[in-house]
Amino acid sequence: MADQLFPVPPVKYGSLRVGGMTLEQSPFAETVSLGAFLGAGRDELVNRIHEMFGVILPEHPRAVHAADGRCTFLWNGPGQWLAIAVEGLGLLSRLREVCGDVCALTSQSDSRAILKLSGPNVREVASRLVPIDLHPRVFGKDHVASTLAGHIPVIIWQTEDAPTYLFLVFRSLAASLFHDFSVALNGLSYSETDSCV
Amino acid sequence: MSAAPAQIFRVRSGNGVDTSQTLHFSFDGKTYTGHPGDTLASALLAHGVRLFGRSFKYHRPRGLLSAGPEEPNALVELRDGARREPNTRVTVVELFDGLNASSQNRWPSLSFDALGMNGLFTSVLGAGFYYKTFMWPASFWEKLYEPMIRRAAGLGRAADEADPDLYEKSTAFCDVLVVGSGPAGLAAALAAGRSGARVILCEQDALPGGRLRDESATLDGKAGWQWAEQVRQELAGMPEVRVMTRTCVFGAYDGGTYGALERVADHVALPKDGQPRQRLWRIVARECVMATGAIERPVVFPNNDRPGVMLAGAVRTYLNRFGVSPGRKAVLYICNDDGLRTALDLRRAGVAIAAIVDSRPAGVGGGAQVASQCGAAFFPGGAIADCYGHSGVKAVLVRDASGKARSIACDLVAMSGGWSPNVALATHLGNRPVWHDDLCAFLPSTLPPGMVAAGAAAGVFDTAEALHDGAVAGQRAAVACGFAATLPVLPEAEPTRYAIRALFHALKGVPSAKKAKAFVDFQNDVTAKDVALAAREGFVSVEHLKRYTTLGMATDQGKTSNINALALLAEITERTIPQTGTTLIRPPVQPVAIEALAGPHRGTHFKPTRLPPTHQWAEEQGAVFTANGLWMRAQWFPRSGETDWLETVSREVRTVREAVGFCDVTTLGKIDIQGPDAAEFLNRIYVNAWLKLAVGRVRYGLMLREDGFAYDDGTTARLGENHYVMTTTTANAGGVMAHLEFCHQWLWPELDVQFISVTDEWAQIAVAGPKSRAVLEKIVDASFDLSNEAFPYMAAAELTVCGGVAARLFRLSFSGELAYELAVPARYGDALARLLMKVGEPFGIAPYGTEALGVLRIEKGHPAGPELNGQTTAHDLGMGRLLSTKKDFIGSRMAQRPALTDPARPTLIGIQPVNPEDMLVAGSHLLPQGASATATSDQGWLSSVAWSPSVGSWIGLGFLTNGPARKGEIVSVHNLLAGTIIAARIVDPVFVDPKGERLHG
Amino acid sequence: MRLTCPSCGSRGLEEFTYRGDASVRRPAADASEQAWVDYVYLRDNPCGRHQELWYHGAGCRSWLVVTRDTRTHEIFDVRNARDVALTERQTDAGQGEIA
Ligand SMILES: [Zn+2]
Repeated sequence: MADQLFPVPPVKYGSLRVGGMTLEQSPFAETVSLGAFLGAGRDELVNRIHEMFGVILPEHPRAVHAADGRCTFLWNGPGQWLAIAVEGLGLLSRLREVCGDVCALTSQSDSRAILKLSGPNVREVASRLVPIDLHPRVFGKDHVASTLAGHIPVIIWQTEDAPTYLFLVFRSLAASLFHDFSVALNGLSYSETDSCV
Repeated sequence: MSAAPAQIFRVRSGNGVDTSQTLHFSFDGKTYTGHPGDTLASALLAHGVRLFGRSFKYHRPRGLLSAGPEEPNALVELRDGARREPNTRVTVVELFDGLNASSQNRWPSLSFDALGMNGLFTSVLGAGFYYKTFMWPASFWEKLYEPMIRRAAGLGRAADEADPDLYEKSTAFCDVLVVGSGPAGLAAALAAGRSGARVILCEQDALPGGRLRDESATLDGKAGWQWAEQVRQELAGMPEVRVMTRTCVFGAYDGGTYGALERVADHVALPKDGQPRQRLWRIVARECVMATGAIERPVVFPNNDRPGVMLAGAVRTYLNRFGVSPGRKAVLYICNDDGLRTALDLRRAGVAIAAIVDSRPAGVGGGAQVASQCGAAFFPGGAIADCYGHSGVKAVLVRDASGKARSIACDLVAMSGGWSPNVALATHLGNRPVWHDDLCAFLPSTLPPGMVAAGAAAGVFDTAEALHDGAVAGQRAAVACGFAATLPVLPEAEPTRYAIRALFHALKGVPSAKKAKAFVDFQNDVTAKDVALAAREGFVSVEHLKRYTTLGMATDQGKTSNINALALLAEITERTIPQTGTTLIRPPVQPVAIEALAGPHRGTHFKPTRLPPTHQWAEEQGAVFTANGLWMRAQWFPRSGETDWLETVSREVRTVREAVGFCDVTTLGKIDIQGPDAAEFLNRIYVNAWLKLAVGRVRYGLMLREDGFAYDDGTTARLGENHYVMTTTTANAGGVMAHLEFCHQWLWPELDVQFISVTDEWAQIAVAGPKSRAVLEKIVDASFDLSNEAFPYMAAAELTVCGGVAARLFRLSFSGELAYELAVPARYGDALARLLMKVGEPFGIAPYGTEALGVLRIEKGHPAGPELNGQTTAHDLGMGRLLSTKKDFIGSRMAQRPALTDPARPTLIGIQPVNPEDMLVAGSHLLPQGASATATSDQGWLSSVAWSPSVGSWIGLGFLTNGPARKGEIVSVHNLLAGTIIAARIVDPVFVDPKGERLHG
Repeated sequence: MRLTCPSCGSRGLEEFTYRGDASVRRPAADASEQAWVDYVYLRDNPCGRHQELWYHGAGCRSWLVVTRDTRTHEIFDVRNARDVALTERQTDAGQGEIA
């Protein structure tokens, strides 16, 4: 009977390619939020994550990658992080063992869809919707930000130096965001302004 | 279509047009030719067209005053159909092949306008005519005055259909924003750009250069525009510099934020597929160099609005940039040496100069020399006393210094009252400009943080000085951003002299004595006499003057009129200009279309849509959807044969009451709450007690606002020792999250608790009805005991379903039936709906939508949004006893106020019409039977109503004074909108299963 | 207008919501009705510097204490409300010991 509950992706469209740029839905990832408890909880959390994953939880809006490369931690507010790993790693139960007593652990795997925007000029496309400065002097690889894309709250995460952005968006809003980015992509394909800034 | 007429006024090739290509366009149905680089103004002028429109109030023939965005007269309707754009200034319309424009505000045609006789009723249409003439009786306004005025005085017609084009919004960041690409702007961009700073240069025109394109003066011995092109090339090669042409910076806002409008595809017939027509930019800049240039002032003299009377600088623009002469024989009317350039440029183009009228006394300025060079009569200390020619200038009456007047034939008057620095951006945040007598101009004094004015915008009119001023401003701005900037080597410019003497009008004595109209505001048809009249009637504040005469309040916002009006008012009231005042300029600098402000957020994309996990499945089922906040929810699921929504909804309700139904309730806000102090936190948030809730149990909770009124409600389940999951109403989900964060971070930071939204994490589906347990038994894994004993009403559990999928089950009921809410990870929500349909089929399962959900909860007397409307208390909702007296919680203190617990307050009741078929309408008022429909008799209202298939009657929930004590009483239900009154009985709000036996079955 | 969130950096106004005066303090449960009425309803409307609460709802979800000039919108200071509240509690506790 298990096969009767099959997963359905948040956005029904496939990927969209415009002017060498691609907008696509990333595969399902296991995502867990970590919220440090008071007192010694926060230091203890940092220590244990360091021991187990070989990485220091960031104090600023950044992403850091576990030593084994199988898990990434994103800053998600003061004392809060998102751990992201590929499906099948049992991330939530692993984290419960490591630090379940010093922080709140909550599955966010289904809360967020991840839209990936890659190719030339994606910074310009992103600037149509995202109101923060994405210039390389300000925002680079593994920088993350909780902000808006148009009217939609997103976490933007730059994963490559040649900008590739992941947008973590609430699942229910993913189709709207996909639409908004498709409009921006189509608009840019005819842009006549210098696209350097 | 006849052959296009020749461009007989195209006297040479201009620096901004490409005469090797020919474009065709039409104006008022007639075909003309022009060239790439032309504006609609220059192309029509090349054909000798002088009449462009009729004035707003008096329908006077009007031609071009200017060559730029300040144009008050020459407004047309551009394009047609859904793209028709009224009040478009021909001076900023770039010509494209196939362009189609028509004049506006004329009837029946431009050359013969029947309403031109408005000019004969000047006394009626003078200053304040709206306030004086049409005051009484009031009914005349709608029926007579308004339509008459609209017919007689109006501007263009907006398109009747929705705009078919796309609009975008974008955000840009830079170190240095340079506004304007004249000499100062280019030098600033160069200085800042070479330092490596991130620079954005915005130019509202299609071409960079500003006045460098308009003047014949040279830089380093070459045409000025060539230097502009060279700088543009260099800037284009800098990786951190962005040059944005056709982009007007229209507003300065707090925090170094600027609004700009990029006209992406206004200059072509149609945008390409997917291309936006315009793009609204928000530019965040650390520093800003305002190099916006200056706008030339007209001179106020009788009949100064005749077609052919133009600004001197505009004449030079048409000559030098477009190669078009606006006339054959010119008279200059000037008060400064800058205007004299016009004579020399006209002379070089072969245009005769009949006279130079220089308001300055003999010996001041270079007028005499230029006049002799051009062979023109020279009138130092002179004035133009009148202007003749109905639809175009034929002659002017020149009064010399001795007062002697003579008529001089001409077809062009080039006037210059001096230049007004374009300081708008500097004043948007409330910084008042200061009057400088020596320049006869307002200059910025204090500027918004990070902004500096340069070049003509700062009163630096000499080209060499403007270049230097701009370079210094650009360098300093870059240095302020931490870049090592140096001054660029600048080209040599010919020295110029300005030597201005104030000239605002040529009206001797008090202007009201003159009979002929001397226009101050061309677009709103405000004359010098109107200003005098307003002053005489006591409107001596410039702000009052503007509102009384409408001066400066047309679409051009008084760019060419404000200062002349101020000067006139000062003179009439015998004050100086600084004593008389100034007016702050508000954004936008140029008109911005509402579509551009909306950007892509139009129509169904006005706001984003949230789709629950079962949306696609519901679509396949043919569901009818409704918006619930941002959420799109299934409202009901029609079946073939059902004739109306009520039939469908009643069937869905019966299915739940008699068998089993299911409904996606994912949209309820879900908040995961964890931490050692989670219980204590809930205890302070909710009115009722939470410390003793057992693991695996759910409790209803009510939240108040701090003022004691009800805020939100929902259930919270305890999943573990320190782990709770709260539900909120769909509408308040975001608000409750912010409220919890506020209480935690600001009120009680010592509480150890963490929250995160899990609304999207779980697909939550209510399965309700006597057969719901039987259906769930097919889904939950066998190890879980669903029996009433093991999993009673208000139980909660984490379990697995369908062979190992993690899920949560809550035994909750909004319908009053045996019911559950099953939550699975959202990716399985779609499949769960399909599975429920399949396994529920033998039990007669059916999906139900929000409408049936509403009926079910009204039948059960559960308050929802209409009851928790922000004006009701726990007591009003019949939940006064929930309020704990043993603890402090949000709203606890204020809820105890006597007025909030007064039993006479309208309190929740059920209501049932005496005749079951009488339809109840929410919002109706409840009055005692027989009482007159007055506010004093009003005793309450109906909040929610439904046709109840279970009761077989219309039923409602409402609030009634002393409600619970009045059960059985018959009251009058007044629907004031429909004018109906029906009799209805007050009953218990629980219509179905009042003892709650079904819940516990 | 822009605010610099201590966690997220400089952001536009659209990411924030305004709540109001940050100088008022929630009274004790048994405080007088007048104290409660003051807390819930009474606000000064100063011309000049004003401490106020903002919520970075579209960002890190931090409540912030912002010091702003109500005339010019100049922002003098932005701090995490939680830090401000915790510091106040420590100060209050310290004073209690001295007393
Ligand atoms: Zn923040």
